[in-house]
Amino acid sequence: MTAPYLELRGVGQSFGKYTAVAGIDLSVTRGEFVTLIGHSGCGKSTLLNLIAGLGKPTAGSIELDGKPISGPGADRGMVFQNHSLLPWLSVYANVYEAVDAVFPGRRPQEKQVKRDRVERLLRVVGLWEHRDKRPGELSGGMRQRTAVARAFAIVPRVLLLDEPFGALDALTRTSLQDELINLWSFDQATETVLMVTHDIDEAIYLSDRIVVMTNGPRATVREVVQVPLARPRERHAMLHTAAYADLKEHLLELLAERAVVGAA
Amino acid sequence: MSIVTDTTRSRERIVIPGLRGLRSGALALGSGAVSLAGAAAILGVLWAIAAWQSELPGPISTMGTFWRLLRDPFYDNGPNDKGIGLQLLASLQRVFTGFALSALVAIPLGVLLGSNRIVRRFFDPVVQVLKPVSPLAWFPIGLVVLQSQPNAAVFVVFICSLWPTVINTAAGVSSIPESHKNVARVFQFNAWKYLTRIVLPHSLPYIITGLRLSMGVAWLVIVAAEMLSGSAGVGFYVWDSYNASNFEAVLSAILFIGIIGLALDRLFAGAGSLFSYPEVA
Repeated sequence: MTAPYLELRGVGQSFGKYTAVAGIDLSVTRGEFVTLIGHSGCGKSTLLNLIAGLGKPTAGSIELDGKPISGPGADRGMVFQNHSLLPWLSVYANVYEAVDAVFPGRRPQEKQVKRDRVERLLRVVGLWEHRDKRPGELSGGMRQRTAVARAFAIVPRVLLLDEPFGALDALTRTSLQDELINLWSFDQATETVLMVTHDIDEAIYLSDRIVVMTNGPRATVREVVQVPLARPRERHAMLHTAAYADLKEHLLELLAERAVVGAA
Repeated sequence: MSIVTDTTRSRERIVIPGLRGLRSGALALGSGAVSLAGAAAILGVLWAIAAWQSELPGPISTMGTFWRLLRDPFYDNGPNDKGIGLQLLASLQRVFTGFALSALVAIPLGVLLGSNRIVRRFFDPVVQVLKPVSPLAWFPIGLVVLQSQPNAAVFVVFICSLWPTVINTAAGVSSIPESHKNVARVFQFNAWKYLTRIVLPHSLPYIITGLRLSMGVAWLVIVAAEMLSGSAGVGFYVWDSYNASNFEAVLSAILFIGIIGLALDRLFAGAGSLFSYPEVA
């Protein structure tokens, strides 16, 4: 058993009188893919923002690799819910500016390394041909691919994804899920992934463990479920296994119960 | 009263729905030339009636003077007799000097006001008090400080064209979406990158709107300032022609002022349309 890499102890976040999340305990080991699942408004995104360092928890502590998180850092890359690309920059510039901000080296050699990295990632997500387009000229799937490439481009240790594919159609979503898994297994530096979703199939297909949240306010961890499916996973074969069916049923039950739990 | 709410009003002021409707209606009729000819005809009739009822010269004698001025705009017969082109150039030079200086101050000041709530709270009353002051009231201040009448006119242009750019820039900077700010934080943008990759590109359309309004104000103000400053410029020309009872020249000058003002406004409107990015949801 490896030591926890990301450790949340009694984390809570209140906005004035409103408590979004409370008493969150969670340990994530290095190299794990963990999904946070729950109904909308249950504070999943709040929790992810706290780990990203975009907010400070009002209770408890968050430690990454033994050090408390005090703000955003280049060790954590993030894909936002609304892709958050800068509309005046091309696909290439959106990714390059992030890399350049994190690795500010000015020497030609260093710049070449950055350019190579951007090119490689844009090729992996199939956007190299579209590198000069602005986000406004792209489809929703291409925008989110750019955002994923940008997050990987800064070589983060932890990747945070906030409902990254929520706004996409089912076909685009499945292909992006596969690309995400490819990038994750292919990129040795980025080992640990935390993803927020409300899609049960997505959670099962992608993660090692699924954290089911109770409903807000005062949302907390309802249960942490192991996904007993070996990698690499094959989407269609997976759908017909008993393990998958049991897991999905269990998750659905947990999510259906949450109203009762929330009221208690 | 915050700077920001005030701006939305001043931005709305330039988009006059009536004018839009009028323009599209005219386009539906046929061409811009048709509507221009129609407008000229209506203006000419009203003008003729006004001239008949007063001592004002009529449209025909004025057009004669207008053509004469237009045929030889750059003659120079000493300080009190220069062509209209030279007068307009003198005014334009002052306007651009005052306007450029004011943009150099207004854009950084607007960025500062827009990005810092405390600075904004401190400066907002100052802006609110100084903004409604008449251009002519600034003239003596310019005289006292600069000890020169032409420079005082530039000073008046400078002061009066500050506010629209300050206010619009501040509105642009303070409206940067939270998502862009989060990108800058997560991806560790330093201050320079944040300014050049997020603040300025996002605010550019606002800044150009501000500059366009400022240029309009500057062109309004220069005529009044030059009436006080004398020496040269289209404002001086209007006042000088009035004193010489040459009302045809006064009316012609008004036409020139209007046409140049329109051209300046179109110039900035064109620049504005170059820098609009579709905001992606």
